[in-house]
Amino acid sequence: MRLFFCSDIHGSQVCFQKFLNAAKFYKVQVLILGGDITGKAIVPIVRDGNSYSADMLGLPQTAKGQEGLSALERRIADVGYYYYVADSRETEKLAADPPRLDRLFTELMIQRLQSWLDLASERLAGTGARCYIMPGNDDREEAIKLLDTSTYVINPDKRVVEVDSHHEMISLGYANITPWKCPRDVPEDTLMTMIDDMASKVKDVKNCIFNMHVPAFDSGIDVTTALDSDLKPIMSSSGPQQVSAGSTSVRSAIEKYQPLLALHGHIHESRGVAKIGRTMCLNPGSEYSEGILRGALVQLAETKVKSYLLVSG
Amino acid sequence: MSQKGTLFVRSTSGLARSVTTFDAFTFGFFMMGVGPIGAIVYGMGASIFPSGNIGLAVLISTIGAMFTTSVYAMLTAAMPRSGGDYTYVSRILHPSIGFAGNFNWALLNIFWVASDALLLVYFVGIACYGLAVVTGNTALMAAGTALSLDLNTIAAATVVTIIAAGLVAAAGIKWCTRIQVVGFAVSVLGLIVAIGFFGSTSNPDFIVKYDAVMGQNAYMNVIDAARNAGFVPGGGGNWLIPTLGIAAMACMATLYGMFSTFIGGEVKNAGSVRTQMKAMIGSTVFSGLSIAIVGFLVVYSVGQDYLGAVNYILYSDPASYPFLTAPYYNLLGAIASNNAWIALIFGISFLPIGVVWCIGCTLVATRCMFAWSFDRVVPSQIAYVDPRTRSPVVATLVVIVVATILGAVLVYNQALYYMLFGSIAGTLFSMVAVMIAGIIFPYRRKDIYDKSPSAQKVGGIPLVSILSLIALAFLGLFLYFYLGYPEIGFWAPLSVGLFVGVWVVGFAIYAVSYLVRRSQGIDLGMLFREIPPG
Repeated sequence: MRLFFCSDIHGSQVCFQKFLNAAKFYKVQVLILGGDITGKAIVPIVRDGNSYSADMLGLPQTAKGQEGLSALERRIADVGYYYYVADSRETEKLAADPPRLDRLFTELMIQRLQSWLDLASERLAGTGARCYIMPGNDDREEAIKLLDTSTYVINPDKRVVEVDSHHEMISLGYANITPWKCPRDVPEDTLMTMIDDMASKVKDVKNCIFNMHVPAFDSGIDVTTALDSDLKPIMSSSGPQQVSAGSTSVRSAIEKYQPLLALHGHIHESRGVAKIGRTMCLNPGSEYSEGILRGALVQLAETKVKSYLLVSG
Repeated sequence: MSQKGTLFVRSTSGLARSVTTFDAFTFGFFMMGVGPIGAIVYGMGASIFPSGNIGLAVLISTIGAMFTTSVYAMLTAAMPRSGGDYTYVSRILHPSIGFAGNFNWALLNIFWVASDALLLVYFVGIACYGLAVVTGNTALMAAGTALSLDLNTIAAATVVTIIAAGLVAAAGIKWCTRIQVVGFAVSVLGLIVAIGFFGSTSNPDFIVKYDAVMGQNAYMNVIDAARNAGFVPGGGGNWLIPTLGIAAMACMATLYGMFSTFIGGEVKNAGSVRTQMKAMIGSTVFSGLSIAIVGFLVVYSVGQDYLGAVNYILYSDPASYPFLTAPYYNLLGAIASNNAWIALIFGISFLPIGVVWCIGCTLVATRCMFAWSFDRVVPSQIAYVDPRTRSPVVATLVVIVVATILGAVLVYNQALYYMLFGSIAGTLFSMVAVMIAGIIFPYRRKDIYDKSPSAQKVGGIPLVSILSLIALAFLGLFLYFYLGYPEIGFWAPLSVGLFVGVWVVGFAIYAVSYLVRRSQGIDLGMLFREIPPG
């Protein structure tokens, strides 16, 4: 059985489309999206008559007419942001009204996710490919509820699912506490309880896949930039200083249960492969803002990982 | 929930304040090694191209480097999370070229671990010797002599430095932040003292001061000895070609303002061309101007004939060579100052950069090996991380072993300068691949280019293509001197073997890996192939 795993696309429209097309492109039977699926920001597109302007990634963008506006919206969506068309007065009002801004975030988030779920049904139905999409620590409750309503996409979070006749998978999109206090950051002991609870229901844990958003602490695939108290990277002679930011509970669980395979995301810049005992741990990293879909192709035999390749699609 | 400029952001991971442009600038400044590399270029340049204008040459080299650096900045802004040239060359040209180029780059870094360790030993020797000449301290003289002339001592110190750098790189480098800050201050202090001393000491004054320490007519004796050995003071003939020759040699410093491409994604507003330009061009211009200014002043004070002559007899007539150590400007300044404090500042100003280079190059080389391993091009054992120490022991061991072998070759074959310049030619080849990638980027990866901030046009032609083409012309000019002037050292058998042969080896490794992985059901061609979004 061949699977494709990716994570942390953070609202990127083009990355999601590539994710769906990965089934055919890489000839895989199983698609897994390992969390952090929703976007981080709204780009206001300021309307002035038939002209539109926006500031995207520090670059001023302008558009004219409906066609220009559509192209601009597409560019914004591809980097993972949401767009909101309004005149300058409305934009200012929005900025001054955090509760309304929060509601708008949820609305745009739901809107895009719904369109993704529709697209998944449309493109994958009849292909035989199974599609698992898990929320991550960045994703809100409203998005999770919507995922659960899908008729095609399976939300595997906090569940045991049978990926094929030989392999079960347990999934957890929660993370240990991050400096940003994300919606689904929880203490380490809570994470451990959740993992133990799922693992106890697995028939053959040695042949199981652990789909855990956060990688194991000190695994080499959890390395990120060290931040000072002001969330500013600490520099060293070879660049920003690096630290491990993974979960000690995930590490303990992998050491304790020794599953066949562990799939992770969360730390975008820590693409790599690690071995913890017999368990192969993969983090394909993320480059969603460039429209590049980083992923892992894994070929599974009955009781072993036959081969793998980290790809940039 | 907050408003950031005209962007509304929510509380999510990853929205950290990033590395500042100044941090990236400092990083580039360090890797360009303003003082020490300048010293080598002035000396060797004056020796090989006596009629060249050193300051002007550095400025020309800096202008050329601004174009290459601009291309790196634009490619980094277009693919800021990509981790340097390996990925963007692989994506734009072909994975085999990306790998071979990066293999070359990794080996260059391992070579630089060896050469920098040796240079660091020499720098310590120069510091001791310079102070000894001024103060008459015999212990310092003995240390300076041992670290400059005794090959076994130099070899032992070089190996110890390589191993220490490897251990520090493997164990973590938190303390290096302090070294970088202190090192930056010491380096800048050294530059200020150099500008102050050489700027305020005319050539006649320098000769008087130099002779007062080194003996009557010592200054002219050096020029006479070099003339007798075949050196032509002033060079004769035109100055333009020799100036361009020195400009090519100055690439040793000027080209490396692009180094922050390897941390490009961590820079605040990484996807902005302006941000990347500020960091990379800022380093290039600041360092290039510093080297040019010090170069002008060293020539003004020390005199180009002497500078060329003393470097010439270093190898051609060692019996007439007046010092026990290499004739870098910090030694000449220390001696002529006849002042212990100035000699101390001159002496130590080169040391922090040497330390940072050794560790930094070890890290870059091990990171390259990790990337190959993750891409399944080399065995995964290369990226083995010791579970107890959490350090990449295999990759680090590879760096230490290869660097030690190269270090021994440099020490016992006295091949430092040949190989050093040969390594720059190796860099130029890697950069040629990047520039070719830059030229065709808008056409071959239109999908990435169109969405990137680098999608700027001049007269309907993509700016990145224009800059790449100009940069390629500069690189071609510089390569002409490396290939056309054997004195620079590229054609020394060791240089050719190491820095040309490595490309062949790089392609061969990729080809073998491709076939092996294919037999295992893995298509390495899939690594960077884009999935059509549809």
